[in-house]
Amino acid sequence: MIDAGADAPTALNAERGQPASRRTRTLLNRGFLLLCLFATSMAVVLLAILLFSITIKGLPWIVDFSNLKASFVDGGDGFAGWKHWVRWEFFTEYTSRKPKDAGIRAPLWGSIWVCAICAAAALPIGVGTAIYMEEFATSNRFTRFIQTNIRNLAGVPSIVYGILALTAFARMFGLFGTSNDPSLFFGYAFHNEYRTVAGHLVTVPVSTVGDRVMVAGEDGIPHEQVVESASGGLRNGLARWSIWTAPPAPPRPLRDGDAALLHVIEPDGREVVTAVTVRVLADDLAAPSIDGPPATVSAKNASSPTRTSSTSWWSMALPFGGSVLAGGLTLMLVILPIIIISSQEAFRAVPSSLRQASLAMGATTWQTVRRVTLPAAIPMIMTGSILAISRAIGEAAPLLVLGVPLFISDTPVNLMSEFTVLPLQIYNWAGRPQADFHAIAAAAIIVLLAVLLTFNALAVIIRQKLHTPLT
Amino acid sequence: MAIRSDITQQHSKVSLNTSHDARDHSMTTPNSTPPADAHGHAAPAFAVARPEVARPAGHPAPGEAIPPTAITVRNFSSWYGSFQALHNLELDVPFGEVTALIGPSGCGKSTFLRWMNRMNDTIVSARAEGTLDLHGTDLLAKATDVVELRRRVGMVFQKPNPFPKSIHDNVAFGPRLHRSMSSGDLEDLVEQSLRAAALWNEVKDRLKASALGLSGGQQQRLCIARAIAVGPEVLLMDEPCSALDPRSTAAIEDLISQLAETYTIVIVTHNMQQAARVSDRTAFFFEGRLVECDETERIFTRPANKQTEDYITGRFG
Amino acid sequence: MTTLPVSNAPSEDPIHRSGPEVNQGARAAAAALRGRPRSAALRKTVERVIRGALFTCAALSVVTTFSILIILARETLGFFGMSEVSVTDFWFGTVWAPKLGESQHFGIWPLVTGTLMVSLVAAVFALPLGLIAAIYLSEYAPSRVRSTLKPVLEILAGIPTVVYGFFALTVITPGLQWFSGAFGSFNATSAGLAVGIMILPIVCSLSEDALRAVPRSLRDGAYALGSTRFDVSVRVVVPAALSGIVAAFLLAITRAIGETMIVALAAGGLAHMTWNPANETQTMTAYMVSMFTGDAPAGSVEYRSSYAVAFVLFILTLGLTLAGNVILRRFREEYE
Repeated sequence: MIDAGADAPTALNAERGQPASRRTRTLLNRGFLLLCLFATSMAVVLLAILLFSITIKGLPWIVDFSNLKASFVDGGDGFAGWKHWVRWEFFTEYTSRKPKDAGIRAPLWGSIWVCAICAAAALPIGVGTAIYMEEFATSNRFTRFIQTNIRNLAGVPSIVYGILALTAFARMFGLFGTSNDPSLFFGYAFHNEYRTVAGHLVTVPVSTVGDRVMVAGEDGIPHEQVVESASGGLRNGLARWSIWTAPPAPPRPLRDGDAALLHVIEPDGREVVTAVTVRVLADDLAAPSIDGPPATVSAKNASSPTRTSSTSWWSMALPFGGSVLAGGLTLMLVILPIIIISSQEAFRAVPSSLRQASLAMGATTWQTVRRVTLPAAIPMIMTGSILAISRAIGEAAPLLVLGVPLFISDTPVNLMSEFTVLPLQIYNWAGRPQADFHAIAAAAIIVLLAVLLTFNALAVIIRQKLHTPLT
Repeated sequence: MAIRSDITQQHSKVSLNTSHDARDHSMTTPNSTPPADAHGHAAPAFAVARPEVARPAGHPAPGEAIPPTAITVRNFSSWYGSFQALHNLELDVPFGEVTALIGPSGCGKSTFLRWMNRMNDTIVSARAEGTLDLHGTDLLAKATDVVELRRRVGMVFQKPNPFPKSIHDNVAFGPRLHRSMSSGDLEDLVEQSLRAAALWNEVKDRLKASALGLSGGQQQRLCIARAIAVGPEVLLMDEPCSALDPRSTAAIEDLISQLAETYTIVIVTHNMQQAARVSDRTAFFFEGRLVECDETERIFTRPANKQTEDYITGRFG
Repeated sequence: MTTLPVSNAPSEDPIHRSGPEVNQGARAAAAALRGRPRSAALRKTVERVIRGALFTCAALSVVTTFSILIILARETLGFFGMSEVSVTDFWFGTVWAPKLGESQHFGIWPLVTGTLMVSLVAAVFALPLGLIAAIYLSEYAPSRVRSTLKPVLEILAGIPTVVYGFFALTVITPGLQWFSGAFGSFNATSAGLAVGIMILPIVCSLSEDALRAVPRSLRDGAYALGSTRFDVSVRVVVPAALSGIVAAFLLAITRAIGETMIVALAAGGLAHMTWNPANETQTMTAYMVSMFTGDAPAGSVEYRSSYAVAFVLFILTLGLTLAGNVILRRFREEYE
């Protein structure tokens, strides 16, 4: 708008006002650096206070200081004497009303079970999703929608996942009865249990059509047979595994001809189980006898039956209720977005020249994934997954929603077992007013943090050791 | 194995009597394009005119036989989204020769190369029309098995891209995908492929070592060995020496000349000296069009087109 | 090159009778291709099956989102349909009294203010601190300091929230009470500070990512004009990374709003309208915990009210995450 000559004086005129003092600017620079150092050291100090306060409170419940003194000061064998100065009862006892007797056996095992189930479910699904998104999917509207959706799922509060899990896993939308009265069983074998007057235990399996059962043959040798009809439970059969589509019928008295298992405790304490056929004696003998074992047992005046079930570790009942399986799947929901996102980053870090090389050799997409990109991405996937799983170990809120009982005096034995986990136990103890419970909560926190730090260290080691250059 | 030797036999220079037939067949395949366009009278005439052009004097004996066509290109165009990268190409890539594609950056030569084994499928917006034919197989047809096609048409990339595996596993990668072989046969194939890529003597004592420990030139030769190991008919090379030092480049160029006896080679290069050194025929691309394609010697001594001349004399590009 | 063993191939094979100029190696390689070609049909089937399975995995995430939405919406509608509940009261009421028998009131605002108060305390504590720490890590810190500080932040980020809750209850609250008698044994400040410590590493690492994404050339340009490091950091780099920092803040606040265990332990269980952070308060998440762990029978009005609260929480956090991610994506596009 103005000719070029007019600009020069304008630029010179810009040198107006006080020049900013050199000292002021240096001070500002220094001052901000101090502020930075303060802010950053705050993080370190907070971590230190947190760890210190928890150690002070909790350590006496894990370490027996009098024995520690004996081991280290009074000429014991130092670290080698760890068996003496660790308070083992804290690890081997169940929780108790008295803090002194309380331990973390149940939550420790519960955490292990839940974590294993969570990892087993989340890893394949998470890595599978990442593979699909990074290697298979073409960029279209649906793919972008899934991507946005995954990122948003990562921001959903974990307690909301608890609500989803409560409906989808614990109650299964009410499709299979209530969680107290499940209607579909996998891997359960139900028995009617009787005790004879002589004290022998006789169990009669309850089976349904399609079951594969062990039957005591004419020759006394058990063989497998498929149940063809189910009128009032099974005759001539011992269930090995079964799928129930309806709750089992109520227990009934022992009948002639029932196929049963006879449990006899030998003098040396071994329990010997024999497949037998029941014969209920007509006359009133004082004691039942075992006729010609192992084919027949004679029973009279057997106790009234009770319903028992035998299960394997993988046995399942639908709906899942508040079981370890439901717990593991709940945590799976929580960490799935984290695993997906970190695995996607791992795949993105694989140079595309490798992918091109493989495709140009006539490999299919899946062959390229399996032989080239997945092996190259595995270290980063593992690092991300370990961090995600350690998040699952510390997660408590969604399990609270699931209705996990607070007082558990058993370790899980199968997928349907009740459970508690370390963070829930900590929450439970920390929520009580007594100082001693706060102290054992701190002790449990030490155990939890030790586990998590081990996981973190593992992730760091994998990141550094396995991370080979790719080009 | 059986298929492979049949093709070699039919088209190899040894069996001269069949080669004319093979060419005629590929030129007149009725279903390739409508007859009006098939010989591209409207389009630049070099490719079709080639057989009539007298061979330059001094060309060695094999030149007397007109080599059969490996890849036939008719009225071929390609787009990235709405951008047209290639315009109505007409070209015959002869069997058992080295064809060099030259031209300034962005002229479409790499795009064209990547259509020959459908690597452009990995780019969503890329599409192509026209005829692109490998020994009678329509490369663009939807039904074409891309995986099988890429086995027949191998590719070597600009930057050496060995897998982060051992040298042995790099070469064995392709055969393991495509064939079930005894381990003895596989070892033999790995050895022969490495020998063919003139790498065997350098790596025979460390086959289990990581391929990433090799020098750039060795890595590129490993990539060539890897491509050879699946038994391709055509080898595509996308500026295979641009990331290498002069000595490695010389080694690769020697190798290309040797491989040309067995494989049809199409090489994209920025380096005109390289094109002159290694290729039998040269195609000059400019702004997505094929300007000229002829015997390399002719292109570099008496180009028919002014643009070609400007390019090879360094006036632009 | 000419002394290759070709014993594997039959000698009458025409390939091996070629002239001396022929590269024997390449021919031998072609001939060494023995064995059976793998089935193309099998390969295609495997590819299709695996693609389908992987797609199912990816689709599960969509199913998850819709399941949450449907479950929450269904129960919330059921809650609004109950005679004790009025929709206007829920959205505008200031009394949350789910258990008072005859005089039940379901006004969401006490829970919302409780949540906002805790998040506000956390934000006031963590956002400036996290941003300054991020500036330090990205612009000032020598690499040795960085390599010690990053693990500290990673450990802070990995500590379970129930541990922060315990810390709030047993260390922060007594500390606050020592400072001033106004603080109760449950209060919003203590919970807020603990939530702040929890989100500090998130703020810090996301902001640092944003700062580091600012191109070097911008810094060089500023230094070339005679700027001090402070000028460059605060006047050039931070404004350039602003949208990334805002996204980091939004994502961190989302975490604060959704945090459960800390508030369940340290904030108390009394839902009332208050803006005094020294008071006991109840957040939306804490209310949900008290309902799901309490003895309210499933299907009762107070039990269902927790679904309505969850629905509000879900929409709130979803909106914030969505906004954060949109800003983050825009920001990334700027520099890529």
